[in-house]
Amino acid sequence: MNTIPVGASRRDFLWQSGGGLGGIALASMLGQAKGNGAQGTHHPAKAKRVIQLFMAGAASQVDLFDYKPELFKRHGQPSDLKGKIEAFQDGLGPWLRPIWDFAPKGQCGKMLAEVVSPLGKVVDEMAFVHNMTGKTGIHSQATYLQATGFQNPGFPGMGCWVSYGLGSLNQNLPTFVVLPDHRGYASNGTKNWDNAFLPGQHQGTILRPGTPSPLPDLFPRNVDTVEFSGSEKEARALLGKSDRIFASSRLDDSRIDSRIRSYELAAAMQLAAPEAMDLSKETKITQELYGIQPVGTPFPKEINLPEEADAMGRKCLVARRLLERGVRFVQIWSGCDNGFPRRNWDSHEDISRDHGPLAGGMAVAVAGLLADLKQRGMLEDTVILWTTEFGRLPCSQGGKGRDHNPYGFTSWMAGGGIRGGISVGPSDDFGLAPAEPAKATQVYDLHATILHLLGLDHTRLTFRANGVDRRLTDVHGKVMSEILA
Amino acid sequence: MLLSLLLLFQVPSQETKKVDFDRQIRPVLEKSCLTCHGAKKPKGGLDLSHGAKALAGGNSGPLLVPHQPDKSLLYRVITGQEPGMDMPPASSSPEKAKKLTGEEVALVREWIQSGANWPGATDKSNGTDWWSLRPLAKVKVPDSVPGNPIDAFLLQKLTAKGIGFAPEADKRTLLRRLSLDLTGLVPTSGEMEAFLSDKSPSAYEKQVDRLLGSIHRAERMARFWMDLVHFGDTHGYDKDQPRPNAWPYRDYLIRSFQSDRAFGRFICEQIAGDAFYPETRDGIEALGFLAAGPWDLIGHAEVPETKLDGKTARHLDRDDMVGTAINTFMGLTVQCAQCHNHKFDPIRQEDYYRLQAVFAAVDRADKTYHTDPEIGSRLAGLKKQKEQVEKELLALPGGSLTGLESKLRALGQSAPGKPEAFGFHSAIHPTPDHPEWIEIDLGREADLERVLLWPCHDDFGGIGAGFGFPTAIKVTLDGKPVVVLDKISFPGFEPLMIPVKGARGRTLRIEIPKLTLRQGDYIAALAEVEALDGKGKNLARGIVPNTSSSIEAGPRWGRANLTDGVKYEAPAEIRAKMQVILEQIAQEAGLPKNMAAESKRSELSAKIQNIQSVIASLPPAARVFAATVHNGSGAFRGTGPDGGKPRPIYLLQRGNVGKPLNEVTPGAIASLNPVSVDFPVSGNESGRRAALAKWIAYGDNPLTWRVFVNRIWRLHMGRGIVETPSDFGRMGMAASHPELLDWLATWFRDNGQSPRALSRLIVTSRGYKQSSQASPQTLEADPANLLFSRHRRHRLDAESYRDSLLLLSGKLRPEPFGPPFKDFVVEKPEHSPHYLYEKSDPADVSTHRRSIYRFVVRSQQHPFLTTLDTADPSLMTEKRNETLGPLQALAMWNNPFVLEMSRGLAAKVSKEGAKDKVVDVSESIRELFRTVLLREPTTREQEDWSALVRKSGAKSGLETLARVAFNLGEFVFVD
Repeated sequence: MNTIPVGASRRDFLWQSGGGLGGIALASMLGQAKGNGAQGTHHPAKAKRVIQLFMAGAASQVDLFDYKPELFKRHGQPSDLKGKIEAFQDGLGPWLRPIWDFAPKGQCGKMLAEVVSPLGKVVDEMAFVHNMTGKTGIHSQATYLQATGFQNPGFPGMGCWVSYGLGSLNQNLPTFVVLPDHRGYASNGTKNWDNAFLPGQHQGTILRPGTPSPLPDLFPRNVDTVEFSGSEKEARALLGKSDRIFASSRLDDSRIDSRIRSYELAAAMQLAAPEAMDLSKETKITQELYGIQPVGTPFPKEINLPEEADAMGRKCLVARRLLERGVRFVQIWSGCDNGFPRRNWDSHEDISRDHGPLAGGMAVAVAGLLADLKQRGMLEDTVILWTTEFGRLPCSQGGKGRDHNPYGFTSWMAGGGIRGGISVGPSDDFGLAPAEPAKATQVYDLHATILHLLGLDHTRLTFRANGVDRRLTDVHGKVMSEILA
Repeated sequence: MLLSLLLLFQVPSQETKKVDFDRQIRPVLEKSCLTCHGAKKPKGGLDLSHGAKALAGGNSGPLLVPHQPDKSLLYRVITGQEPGMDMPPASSSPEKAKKLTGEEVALVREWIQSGANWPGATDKSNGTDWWSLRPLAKVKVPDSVPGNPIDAFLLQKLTAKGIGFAPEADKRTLLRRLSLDLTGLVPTSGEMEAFLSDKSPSAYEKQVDRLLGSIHRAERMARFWMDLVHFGDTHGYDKDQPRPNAWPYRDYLIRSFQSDRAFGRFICEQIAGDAFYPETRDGIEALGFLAAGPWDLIGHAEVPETKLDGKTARHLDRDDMVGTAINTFMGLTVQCAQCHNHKFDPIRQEDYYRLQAVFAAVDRADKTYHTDPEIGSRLAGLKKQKEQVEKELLALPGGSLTGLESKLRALGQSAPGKPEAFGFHSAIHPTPDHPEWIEIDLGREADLERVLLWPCHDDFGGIGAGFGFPTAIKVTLDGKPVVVLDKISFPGFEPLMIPVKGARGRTLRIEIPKLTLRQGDYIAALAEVEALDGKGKNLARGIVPNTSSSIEAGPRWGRANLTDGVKYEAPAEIRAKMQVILEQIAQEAGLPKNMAAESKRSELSAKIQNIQSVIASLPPAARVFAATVHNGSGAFRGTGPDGGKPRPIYLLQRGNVGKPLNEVTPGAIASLNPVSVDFPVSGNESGRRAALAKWIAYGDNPLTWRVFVNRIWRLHMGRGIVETPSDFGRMGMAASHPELLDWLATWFRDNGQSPRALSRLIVTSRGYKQSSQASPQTLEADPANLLFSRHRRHRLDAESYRDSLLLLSGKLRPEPFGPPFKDFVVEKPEHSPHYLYEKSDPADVSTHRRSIYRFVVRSQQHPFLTTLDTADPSLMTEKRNETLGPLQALAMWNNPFVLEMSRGLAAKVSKEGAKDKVVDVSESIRELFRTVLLREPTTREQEDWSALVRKSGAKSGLETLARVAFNLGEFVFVD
């Protein structure tokens, strides 16, 4: 989707696009670029699109991906956490063994917890990073950090930067799409994907598949349709005609034409968006691959795995369809606000109760997504990033739960340019923190690596805002060469 | 020949390998040297925190010999070449000072080899040699043209390019432009007719004055200011709870602009109104300025300052205040000096933390005040009286008891890290004689050794440790009495240990025969009951007890809290202090009473009661969310419990709250010292803010006046003289008309500092009144319109579009001020409210007010206004973006609000024929054009537009035409 900044002379535009130091931002070069964004990258790209999976509330590394035999051995013994550890609440109880057993999976033999064992069939595509470290145990700041690279509000999400850096691959869908948890937003709401200081077209657009207006204002509300849809075609024609007369006396101003064009694009989007989200176009086999149940299937009232798999599966399948149609960046959220009853990963009280259905459902859907992308040949140029705002402590909180752990957690990547079947950056024997603190991985490194795979140098993708040349990676970040294929 | 070839090859490689001091060397020094060689008591007299001091060297002589690493002491000590001076010394712990890696040693070598350039170390100008930091120049107006001086400055540059102003815009264009510019509303057709028919030479000026005096202009200015200070009606961050008392600051802004407040006073009110104008409404409401931005509720209310996460939250909070104050008023990116000295502008890291120290005592919270100044001052008098009487009371012989008790309370509140679950709280009774009991079924018969009762500490109600602890207790096991205790003394934080060795049974029961005094009533409260066996195992853990009564107010109070394992063990230091006070209290209570003092005491107590009841009878106080000394409890205490004493602020190594270096005192940016202002270290904290306000508002501050006039210029002219309005530093853009900027700044400063007069000067200039059409010569000479050779056409901003639709459809409710309207529905408000805009009814008249009165949510921005690039309330917006795109087109075409306004407009323009009472289509279309486009339709337009109505029928047809009209380029763009 192309959008045109208004009111800017070419010089203004270069300035606003971060070109103040003489460099022309990619965005401006790609303003006219059609099709493959690779024409304007800093170096040849390995991938051209991204899916980010965000587990909101903080997913437990030791119960899912980071196998720690020591915890099984020491279960119930008093925990002695090394280093300066502060619990967010009072979760410094005895060691708590992983809730599920682990078994080796795939050619690589990666140990996965039973609850995420469906991912075993695609684990050879995945690269685990077990030495992630954050800066805070407060959900909001930590979510901002993972989503935007800064702890406080006011910065664009990663998808906004990718949109800004690479532009669009299509004409009639947004560049950066967000699929929030259907029950509500995570900490910070829409601020996790807002464009902040970047021009508006780079903001994440929320899509709500299966609703009457899956994209904001795609159509008038039903109550308005009666009066306004009868002469829709004539009304558009009248608007176009009047605007062309207006433009004819202001020929030196291309914005007036651009605006006429934006209404034509809007009409195209009315056709393209519902089509992109129509899962009935998919075969039953494909739907089952993602864990999707037939429409109208009743679910129990309590949180349960089949329902979670269905909800996540629908988002993942919509994501694949969007990517096929040229959407550049899709962000999928699992988990809404950290309230009760838990529909989020913030398992202070009971890991099994919440992580069971959430992780189990996620594993079914995401395994389906990776397998499907692979069989369609799309995995090779799509990067998948699985992330969360921080991890959970290896000791117990109140017996069955775990408190926040910003010191160490796990993320994983897969797809375009990623070496699959590996685990890097080990954590310590208990999964509390990186084994080698000096080599800890931070969000800046994940972001730098993803931009690198997309052909962008994270130190050169900048935008001037309130006097500062801003970057997704602030003043940090290094490309993680050990996970590159 | 060979030599020169080598040189040729060497040059570029040196260029590319040049070591960057700030990026590569400074971090090494900070990691390995600064612990000992910092600004505070530098070892060996060597201070590596400042370039100049470092170059001067320490007791062992100069540190660096440029280009000669092997002769430089620095290089020698890190490579072990200097006998007895291996650095960092082996004795220092690796946590404090890390050994340099081989790579770092090589970097230092390379850096010295390339000349050991230490940026800023030898800069004699102190970095202030930059146009915007120089004093305002005394500029003479070019005498080429009489009239408005602005035109003389603009024409000077245009003439040099061989062009002049574009022709004056026609009257219709002019009034539309002026009205939108000054008020954010399109003119009505009546206003346009009046202007067109006014043939007097001052017709335009009359319109300017009418619009400048309108409340709508004050609203427009306030909205512009709210962009800068990132105003919102929710906190943002996690949960995004509403901030119901933010709006009085918005009303303050509107009143200030309406009364044309002098700018210097406007600055002082917003930073320290409570100090300059105490007990006034404006002086308090203006403090909403510092609190306008986002606030991390969880980081404050659930995490105390003793934890690192709590420190970070408060650091970020002050950072936002510093940024808001300095960015808004002085256009400097001061936040860049948080981890290191500013790389481009003369702002040292220490300056930044000195600015944080200015705000070290305040938090963001509701502040109470009286909108009626008379009541405010009466209240202040009463409070003073009360303080006086309280002092007398304390001074009575034997009167220290109350003092001790409040000491005890403060000590209890100061204890860090208390859990949220307080414990069990019985029902509240008017008398103490109401037995309560707790019963725990241990599940099996067991031998018990000890029973432990843990006291509560109610910090929520501000009561502190030992809250409600029983004064007498009877313990039974299976109905058989085991222990009876009476006269239990006040426990503070200490648990009461009851030995029950030899007792065996299944049902443990604790009876409380007499309740404990709360505040005029009686209760019993306990945090935890532990039943310990011989091995010290707590058999009661996790078993929910049965109780005679219980206030269930989770998570703080509930009977399940008694056995949840959550109890609080205070730090030993606090417990020891508490014991001392408790002993003193016991002593005091034992002394014989002085009868005279007792009668005086009751007299004074009655006086206090009296004053309190007068205070209670005053009208209720208003509240504004502002920067204030917060008097809280639990994790979010604020500095109120410490009498508003500012928190100590430290220079943080690399901006890391876990690595404080030396403490700093409050201050401003040292290199830009326009006036010597004394920043008080002691005394009321507001003195610090008052000093900063004075420093900013001082006449010789080079930035304050330039920055403000540039903002107003940009508002009217569409482009700033400096087009980076919030960055006047070296990374900002240069001024296109530096003389004009200085002349305007000086004129504004010295002529009453009136924002209204400044706007008037600009919009009455010939430069402002130019057409937006460019001639070929102009396009050639000034293609990007940097010289203001024509007016800048722009798209309507979000609020102007929405408000104008309301106005034209006849639905605008123009009443100013007051609580905000909500054009969303809130669901699930208890945890993280869902703000659902799509569920709001666009026909709801309570939402038909100007957009400035909208309740601004941070976590879920207004979807419609966002597509039109409204300001993001989470970031300071120096200028709005202006974008076009399909999502915006969809919103303008389909959004329920636009369609509802289209219905209104259609009804308003619909004209019925005089005889037949049937809608007269062509007359209605004429009225539609007059209303929206302020002109008559052409014959061709009349035909085209009527054709649509003929197809759809009159009502639906006119509504569709109204929708088309609101989407026209001619309406959306402003010439």
